[in-house]
Amino acid sequence: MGEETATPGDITILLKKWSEGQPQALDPLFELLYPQLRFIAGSMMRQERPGHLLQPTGMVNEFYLKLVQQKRLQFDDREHFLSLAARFMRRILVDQARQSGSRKRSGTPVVLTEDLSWVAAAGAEMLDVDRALEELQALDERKCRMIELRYFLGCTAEETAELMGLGKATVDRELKFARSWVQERLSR
Amino acid sequence: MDSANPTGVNVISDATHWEELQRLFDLAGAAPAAERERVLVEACGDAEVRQRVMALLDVSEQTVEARPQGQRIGPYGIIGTIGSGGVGTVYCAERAIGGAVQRVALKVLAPHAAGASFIDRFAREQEILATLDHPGITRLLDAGLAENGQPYLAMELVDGQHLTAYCKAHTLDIPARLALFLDICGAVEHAHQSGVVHLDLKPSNILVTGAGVVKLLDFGTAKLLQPDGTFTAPIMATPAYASPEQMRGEAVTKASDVYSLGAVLRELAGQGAEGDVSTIARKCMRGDPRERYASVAALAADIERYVQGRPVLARPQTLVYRAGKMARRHRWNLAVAGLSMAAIAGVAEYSSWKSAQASRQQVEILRQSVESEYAAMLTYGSWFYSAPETNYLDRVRKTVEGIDPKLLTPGLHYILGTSYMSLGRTYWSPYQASRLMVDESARAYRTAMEHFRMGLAGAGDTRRAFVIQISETAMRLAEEGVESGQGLQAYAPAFGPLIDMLHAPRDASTLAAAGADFDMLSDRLGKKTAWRAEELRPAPANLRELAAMPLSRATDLAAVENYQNSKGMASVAMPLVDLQLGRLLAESGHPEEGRRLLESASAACDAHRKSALPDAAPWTSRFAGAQAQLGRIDESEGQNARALERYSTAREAIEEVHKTQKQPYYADRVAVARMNAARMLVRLGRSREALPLARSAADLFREEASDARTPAERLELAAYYLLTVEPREARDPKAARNAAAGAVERSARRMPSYLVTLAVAEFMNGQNEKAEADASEAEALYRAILPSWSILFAGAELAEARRAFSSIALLH
Repeated sequence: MGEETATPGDITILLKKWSEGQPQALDPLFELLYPQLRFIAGSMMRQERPGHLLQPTGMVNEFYLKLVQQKRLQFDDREHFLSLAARFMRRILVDQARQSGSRKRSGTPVVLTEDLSWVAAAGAEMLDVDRALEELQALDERKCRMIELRYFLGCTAEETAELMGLGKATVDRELKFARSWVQERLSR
Repeated sequence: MDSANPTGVNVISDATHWEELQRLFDLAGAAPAAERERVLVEACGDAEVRQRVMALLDVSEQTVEARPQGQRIGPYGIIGTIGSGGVGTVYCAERAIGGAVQRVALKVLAPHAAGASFIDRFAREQEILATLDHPGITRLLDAGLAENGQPYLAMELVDGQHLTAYCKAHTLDIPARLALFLDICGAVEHAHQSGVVHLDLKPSNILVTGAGVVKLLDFGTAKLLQPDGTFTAPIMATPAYASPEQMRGEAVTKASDVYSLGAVLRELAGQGAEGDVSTIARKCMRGDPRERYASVAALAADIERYVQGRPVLARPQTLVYRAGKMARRHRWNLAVAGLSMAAIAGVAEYSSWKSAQASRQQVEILRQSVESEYAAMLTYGSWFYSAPETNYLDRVRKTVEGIDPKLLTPGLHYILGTSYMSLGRTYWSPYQASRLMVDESARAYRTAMEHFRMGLAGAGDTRRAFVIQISETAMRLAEEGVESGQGLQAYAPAFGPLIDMLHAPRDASTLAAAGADFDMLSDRLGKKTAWRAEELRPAPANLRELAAMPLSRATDLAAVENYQNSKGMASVAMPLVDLQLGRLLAESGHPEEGRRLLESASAACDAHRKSALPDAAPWTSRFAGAQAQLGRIDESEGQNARALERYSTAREAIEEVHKTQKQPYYADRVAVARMNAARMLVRLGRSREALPLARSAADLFREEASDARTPAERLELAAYYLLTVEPREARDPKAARNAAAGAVERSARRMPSYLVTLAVAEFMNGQNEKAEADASEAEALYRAILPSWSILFAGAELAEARRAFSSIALLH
């Protein structure tokens, strides 16, 4: 993926656009950042033998350090980065599930928990979660983002509220509903 | 959960009632279970909406409280749930001891987490808890296995509140909070004295009882320190409380807990904290572990000093002080680098004229200097060393190149190898993923590989360490190769080292790790061969080589590795390797080698399933897999009768498994096995016999299978099958159309792949106009979806789209 096209400036601009509510900026962002993040994920999975587990916090942190330490990219704030990272985590898990193939189904649906990313990482059931979240996103983008932050990145409810600029009570309420909705989709 | 939709009528569209659903969900959720129906009836006139809310509430409760009250785990009866997380659930439970009833907190591993690594983690927590005895640490009372083999830990039941909640509820002032904090320090210090670091200290892991006694919980992430006081394994941590080194996955020490305690202190003291308390917290939370308090005891002493009104030791650092510190640090760094450069240069010079007789002492100097460089690199992070001005490794390499490699000890090779590995990793940094960097990275890995190989040659007892590194490096090189566009063939060379690893060591965990890698590797290759077979065609030479190796060691390995003590992993690994490799060889154009391995895998799996193992089903299933693969080889060679025999054996085996394990996965496999057999029967002119097999396969697809998890997906699969099954007499376009229409109806969103299937089915039923309309809708949807998804899953999604379009095109 071209260095010619991916200047840090582009990324900063795209990130800013995205954080200002232009969702269409997300896809080019993925295109620019995903290969690196996936590589980090790959390396970390190698270290995490024998279970091939992902550690969302460690991974996202390494990603962040790489971006910031090398002064390649300035994030205005942590919030934007984490929201982006949550979305990445979801894609990585889905990608991983696709790679592991549908043969590795355990037969039980995924349960959304804050440790989801490292517990259920490779299962093909993750594809179902992704599908359900796509449906949720179409219905209610905000709830989908909450789920990503809370369960894919492992943020606490408080952090999720802070990151989204919402009250904790709102997040608790909406998350409870959204989680049930997703679980219900998965258990069908 | 069909309670949401018991009669099969349309699920109401959530979209139109979305806000109302949330409102009613909150309303009814707040009411006691018995009152919910009534509350809902009062609030909402729509029975369908009410039913939907009830279904969601049911799920909400089921997924939290996975285990019903009154169930028994070991000697304990469950009373209620205390909390649940990703790896398990903590129950309140009780048992009778003598005449008394003992209440405990029972921690049980979640069924989905019951992999070997989690069981290890669980066992470690047990081991760690058993070494600790302090009033501030929850005590381990008992541990064991439930009837179903699930491990549990019974711990002291603490009736208390989380730290922050307790402080709020009791409106504690700063001195009272600090007193609690000192108790926490006492408990952590006790753990440290016992060689245990907690690594996940945070308010939610600290309870305070009604009597004000502090209790540390959750040693699930705790580690026993190694003799040098460090531990480097990656650790699950909570970002707000974890130290930077822990977040980076670097060596952690007691200083990492000091950091977390600082974060807890900051939170405890709150915004109104006086200067000195926040200074103390800041000192705990310094980025460099060496600048923090040397121990928890030292931290506690400073808090006490503050409480007593004495000046604290954690003075704010002035800029000058910091600058001086930086300079010193840098100097130290340079000094180490300079020293080792001189030492290496010295050895090089010496060796150039007297290489054969270089003394051990000199090699020892070289070893020590490279080791200290290595330690420095670990301390400062490899990124620091990858900058051009500090790239010591390149200079080391230049110097080392002049030395007769025979003079380097295996240990030195090991260090150099791992250093190059880190170097290879850092080259692969974001925005530098240019061709040049990829090449650099690959070059570093190759150099690492050379060192490991040379080291291996001289390694005695440490052979295993080298073998592990070699296979690791091979995997990296492979990944690199794939990333840089060499295609999947880049994976091929990684097989050799992996096989070495599977054969050389006899310990279960290494085998299991290699087995998992191998599985992954063959899976990746195998998966892609389905639609990118040509990539593998240029016969990977060492796959052939591998096949020539004596791989039928499955049975003797199984005998060596006692089934129980290897936790089943070692004896599992070998037949699986044969199975995967055999499949791979067969699919990549080496039927003979493939057949040999598959025969051997099949025999091993058969032996396993017939022996008195606790659970024969997985082996029967693998046996079926091997037989089916063998059948596929026969089929590809046109040996239909032989293929039928194989497929039938596979079918019987997998049916046997499915009888006891009613899982969709097995249903799916039974259906496929029946399809395979039916196809062969058709080819042999025995369609009459094929028909019932094909029909029963279709039924299975529709009812129980499969890959599909949602009813919609299942219906779509059934439709697809009903349209394409052999013999043709078993095809049923009408049923297929109904199934496909059901799939479209049942999905909350318009799914293009379902629409394609529906269109095809409609076409087969002569409904050309409908087919046209559905196909063009599908095409429009694909066009809308693909630009974004093509980035990630370009291959799979596009292939699917292409397949869909071409089937439409074929029909027109």
